[in-house]
Amino acid sequence: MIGAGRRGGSRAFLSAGLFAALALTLLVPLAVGFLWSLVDPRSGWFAPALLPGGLATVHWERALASPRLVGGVLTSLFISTVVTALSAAIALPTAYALAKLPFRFKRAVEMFVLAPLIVPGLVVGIGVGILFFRLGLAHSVPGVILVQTVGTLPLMIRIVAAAIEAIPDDLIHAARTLGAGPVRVGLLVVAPLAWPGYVAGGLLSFVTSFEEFEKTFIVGSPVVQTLTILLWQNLGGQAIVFPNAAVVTFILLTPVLLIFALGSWLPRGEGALAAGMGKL
Amino acid sequence: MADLVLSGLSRRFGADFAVSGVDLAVTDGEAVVLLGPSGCGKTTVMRMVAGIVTPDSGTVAIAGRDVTDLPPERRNVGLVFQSYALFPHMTVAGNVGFGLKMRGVRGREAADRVARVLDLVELSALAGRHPRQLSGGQQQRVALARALVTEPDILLLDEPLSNLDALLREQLREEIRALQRRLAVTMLYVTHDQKEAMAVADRVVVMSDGRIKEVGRPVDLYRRPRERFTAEFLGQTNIVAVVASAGRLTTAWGERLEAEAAVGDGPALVSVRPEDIVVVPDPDGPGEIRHVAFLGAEVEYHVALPGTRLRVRRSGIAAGLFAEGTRVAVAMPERVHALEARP
Ligand SMILES: Nc1ncnc2c1ncn2[C@@H]1O[C@H](COP(=O)(O)OP(=O)(O)OP(=O)(O)O)[C@@H](O)[C@H]1O
Ligand SMILES: [Mg+2]
Repeated sequence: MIGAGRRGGSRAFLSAGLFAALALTLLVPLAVGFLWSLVDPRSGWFAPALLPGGLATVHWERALASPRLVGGVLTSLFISTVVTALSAAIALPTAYALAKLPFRFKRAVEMFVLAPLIVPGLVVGIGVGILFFRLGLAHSVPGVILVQTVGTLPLMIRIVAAAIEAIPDDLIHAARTLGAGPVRVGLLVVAPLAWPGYVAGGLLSFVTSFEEFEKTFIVGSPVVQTLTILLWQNLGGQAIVFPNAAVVTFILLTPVLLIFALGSWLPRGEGALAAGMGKL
Repeated sequence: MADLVLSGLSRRFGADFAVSGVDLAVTDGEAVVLLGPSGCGKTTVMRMVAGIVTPDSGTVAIAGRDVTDLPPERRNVGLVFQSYALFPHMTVAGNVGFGLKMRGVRGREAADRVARVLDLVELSALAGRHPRQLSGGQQQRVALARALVTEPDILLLDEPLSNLDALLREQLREEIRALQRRLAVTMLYVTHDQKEAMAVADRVVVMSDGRIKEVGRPVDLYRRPRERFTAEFLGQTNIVAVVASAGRLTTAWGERLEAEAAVGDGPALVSVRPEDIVVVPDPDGPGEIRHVAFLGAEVEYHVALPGTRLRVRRSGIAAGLFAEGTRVAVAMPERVHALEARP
């Protein structure tokens, strides 16, 4: 009994610590950022004042009044949706093969598939950008979709492959002997059991695509104007303007929060997110 | 319900044969157990019957039909795994009904058949649960129900009881045996536990190194094994060197024995079970007790004799309990079984 009580105590202590850490790394910067976005330009916010001299919504108004913003949001939503769907479609067979089928040079293929995770986006962007320019894909939405998919696909494959790998072969064999052909095994056994990986991979792909800057800029700019591109332009040009940057942060954060809210609301989504992230 | 014929079945993994030239005929309604040490190829045989592993050569025929080239879903076999392999995202009823759904049996009929088979394995009350909410024994019963509901031609079980504790193992093996008899389903059962094999089988197939060593009824394989491997793998035994002459066998310590069947003259090996040997204290006896292990139901002695050492088991309070170092006279059974192999 005493042991149990003490363990309970240390658990409470641990979670208090974790929440404190979370607050320091996430909530405090967010709160400060939010204040920055509301600083009144006439009075400003200078050290050592703990709070700004005055509050105003002028930065928000200016950012949201930009007519290009709505267009940017729509472009971004469209591109991210297509990128996510494309990644998911390509990832399923690739992930299944990596997870369950024996073939030669598997390690080499695995490395090749995952390489874009390691190579900086700028390098990929410039390399692909030159290629796309020759192919006539530069400055086009399809070009941006393709180059972003190069970035999201490894994530998707990695997470879905891990989820499929975790499905015991016996389950698949059992389904087969019970009369299910390969397609029905895929739909009725593999897909539902790999679903958490799909949710996690899909959400991450969407967010990654939505926030992507380098590759989109290199391949799409100035014709394709995603929200991220527009917001970067809004940062201040030569030097960063803090109130503007703060507004940008919050606009970019909105889809992320929405996506993760969606993730927790989907059936088994919360576990899916945790499980999927664990597999990164 | 159907018979099963394996002919010349072989399968290699890399350079090594996992299964080599297996011939076996299981008759309709028969329970055959594949028994052998770990890695001898039992699972591989079973997987070739199910269609999960393709043989390099040889054929599998079910009910007179060659199914060697058919995928698992078209063979009508029921497979039960050591790991249970229940679908975690389906309820008990969902798991059991899966095979019916795959065969297009739906609605009322499907529900009735699921209910009937759940009743058979005494799990009706748990139909709505998920596998993770069941004990190991219950999960294995669900797996059995799932394999039986489609009325397979052949029921295949690969070490179905290995993950259960000893008591449950005995209970469930009797249930499986009774169910198999009642449904008269042809059954191929894999285990490396010799007691389980004898309890479940009409016939036992002893395997070693990918080959069939010997096939027979449990009582025949136990009492009259042809191979030394069989004698030693099925229970414990004493392999005693003797010299045969005109039908009489003489041991190294001079005891004369009678052979069960004719044995050619010369040196020979006999297999004598520990429980068939009697020892009695005798100061002038040829043997000496070197080791005593009290096992509850029985006592095991290691008895040293000139040129050999015997394992002896006595049971019951009447048999007495002798100390280490006691000199004993040894009484072998009147008629002993000679192995085919010679020293
Ligand atoms: N997929 C595989 N790839 C490579 N080797 C394999 C494969 N399956 C089986 N083997 C090998 O084939 C041999 C027979 O294996 P099998 O699983 O049939 O043995 P078993 O009799 O079922 O053993 P156990 O009692 O341990 O289950 C073993 O040496 C094993 O290592
Ligand atoms: Mg095995």
